[in-house]
Amino acid sequence: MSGPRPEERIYEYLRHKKKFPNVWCPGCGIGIVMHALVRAIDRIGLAKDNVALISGIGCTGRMPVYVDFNTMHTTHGRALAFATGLKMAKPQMNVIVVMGDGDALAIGGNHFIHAARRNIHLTTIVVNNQSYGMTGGQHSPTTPTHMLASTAPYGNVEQPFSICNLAKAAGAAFVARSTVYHATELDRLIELAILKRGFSVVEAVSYCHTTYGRMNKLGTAVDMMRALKERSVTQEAASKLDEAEREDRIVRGVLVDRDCPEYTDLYAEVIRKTKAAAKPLGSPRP
Amino acid sequence: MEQDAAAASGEAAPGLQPRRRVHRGRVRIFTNWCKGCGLCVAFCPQKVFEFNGGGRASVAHPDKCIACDWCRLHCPDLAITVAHVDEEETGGPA
Amino acid sequence: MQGNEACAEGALAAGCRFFAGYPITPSSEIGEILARRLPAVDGKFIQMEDEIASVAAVIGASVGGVKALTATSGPGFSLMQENIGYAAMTEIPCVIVDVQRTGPSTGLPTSPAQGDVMQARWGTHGDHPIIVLCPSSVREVFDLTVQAFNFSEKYRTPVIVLMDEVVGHMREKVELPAPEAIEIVHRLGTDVPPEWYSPYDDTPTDVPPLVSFGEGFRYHITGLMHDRAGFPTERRDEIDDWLRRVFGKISRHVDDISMTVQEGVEEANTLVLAYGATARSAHQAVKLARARRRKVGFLKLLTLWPFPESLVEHLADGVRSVVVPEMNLGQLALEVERVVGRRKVRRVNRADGEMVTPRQILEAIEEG
Repeated sequence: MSGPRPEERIYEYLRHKKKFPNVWCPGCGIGIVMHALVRAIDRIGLAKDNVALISGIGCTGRMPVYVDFNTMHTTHGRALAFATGLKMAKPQMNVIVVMGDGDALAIGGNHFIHAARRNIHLTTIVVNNQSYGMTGGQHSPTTPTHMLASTAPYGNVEQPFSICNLAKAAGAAFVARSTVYHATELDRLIELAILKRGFSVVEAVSYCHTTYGRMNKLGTAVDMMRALKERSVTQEAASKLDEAEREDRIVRGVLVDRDCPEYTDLYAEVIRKTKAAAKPLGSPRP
Repeated sequence: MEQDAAAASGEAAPGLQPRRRVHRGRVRIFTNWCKGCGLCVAFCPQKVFEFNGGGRASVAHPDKCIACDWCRLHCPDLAITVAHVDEEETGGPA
Repeated sequence: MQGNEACAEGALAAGCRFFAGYPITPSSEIGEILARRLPAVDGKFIQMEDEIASVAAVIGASVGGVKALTATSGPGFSLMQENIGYAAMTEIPCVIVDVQRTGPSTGLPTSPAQGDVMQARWGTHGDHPIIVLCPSSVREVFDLTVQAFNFSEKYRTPVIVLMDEVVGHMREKVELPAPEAIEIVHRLGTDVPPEWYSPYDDTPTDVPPLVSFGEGFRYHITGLMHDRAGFPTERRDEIDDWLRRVFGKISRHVDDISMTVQEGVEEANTLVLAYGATARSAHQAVKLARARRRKVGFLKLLTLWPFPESLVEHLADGVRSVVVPEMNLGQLALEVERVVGRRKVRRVNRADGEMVTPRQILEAIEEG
């Protein structure tokens, strides 16, 4: 019997001309997210030709090269803008965007809120390790106050964003969070996000034991993975905690799931109406 | 007849423990892809893995695997596969 | 027809079906007209949140197989540089229109200038080739916008159309070519099966075939230095190959890319070299000078970059002086001086938001 064994089918989605093992540090959660993404795509049954994976800059940005889809590694913070253009040119394509917390929320913050506002059908996965890992552990918009970072040697004085609150406020149709410890929940949320018509955000909470973790003495990858398990709660469990206790927790699950008009659908309607008009506004001058 | 009916409903036939379906897994590691992060070694509930001499994970106790899939799903290098093998076990005499 | 309108019409005639942009004087009309015109031809318009996102969306659309345009002015052009570099590095066709206004910074939003000439060549970091076209009349705006799309597809490169506020906002009577008469170039596709396709392969023309996403060829595009398969590399031999091919792509085809208008250059004592709105004043000055029996040649550059070194060197050989008028403090003049020698070049400059006048240019011609 030829062909891959069932447990090896997932490897059909990797680019075997690319060198493995992957570039990430031993124990890094980004590989876990990549595997979850591929499982979700496999379960839905998307054709590889009809999937585009677009990333920004940073450790997370290195993901697309490893997977056998239409892939783009773009400029820092701008992945959603590239994705918007591709989605408008090819509305039938499943366009998935993967970014780190700094890429998506700092330099990419403007594109993040506007893509959410437009509710354009893009699936956005933000791998949040509360820092800029690749460049050495600088603080990011999600670094908790008081934590150390290479650019906050005396402790971070800033307040962090909540990625999910921001996405919700900006108009995203689907917002969910999980962690790299909860790998099966993660792939389930990614599946829901891909299928949801509109702008979907999945925050995948991870860790960087190499830079940020080391500076803050958070231990090895095993230690930081264990901490994700211990610090996270379901929404149901979180609702039973008082506010002070909840502050410190990572709340998992689907946080937002609403039906809003999707951007490419709305624009398709513009095209339809324009072409149907007796004297189209856009006809050329005589 | 009585024994068959009992077996079909899962109840113990007199004199025997009930049959159980047990999950077993056949674990394989692509050692070339493993970076020795230790997640599988630390988190496997059955302690199937141990570090080998080269600092990479190895399947030290394959028979203990219950196919929970934690290792496969959490290996950052996608270096582990787990084939699910359903087995039936019959208990011994009461 | 207005210059900006001719730009929009030229883009449509060239097959542009996607515009992403941000409002900025004096280019906003281009986006506004395309917002009206595109849906009627199954095209798409989007106003992005800033100019950085505009170029990104244009590149994304082009990767998706749709010819795409953005338009801006100086301040927006500055913002666009990083992503223009991305398009140059990844060799994705796209057209960027910069309707220049007086700078630097906010400058004079409603006054012309030609202060972005060097920025158009070198605005983005790192060594990269680029094509920059510069119209001086409404008809030329139409023609050069079409040509910009054709070059971008043919050479897999971003192309900048450098207009200025005068050319963008002026109105002239034009006769546009019939659609059948317009030559349209599409990106070179491939006929090899997907397993053999390399997005950055060597070819005799130095331009690799480009297949759009979603056509069955799955490949990787990255702004990192990459090999022929598109994967990141740090290998010296692969980097050298890339540099040689990508620079050769433009430099070996200057004859095809460089467009000029030449009048009376054969027996001239003086050569006037001009571009954009200033070329209009220059042409007038040349006429006046000839009326005074001076032997003056007129060289209008429609292609600013790559700079036509051999042509300029050749034409300058027989003349005593080369007059270079510009609405800046001397930018293209630097190229002319480099090629011809500083002593031969007479700069005529102003950067105060006013056009260089024929009289100013005539004075420089008569200086000898």
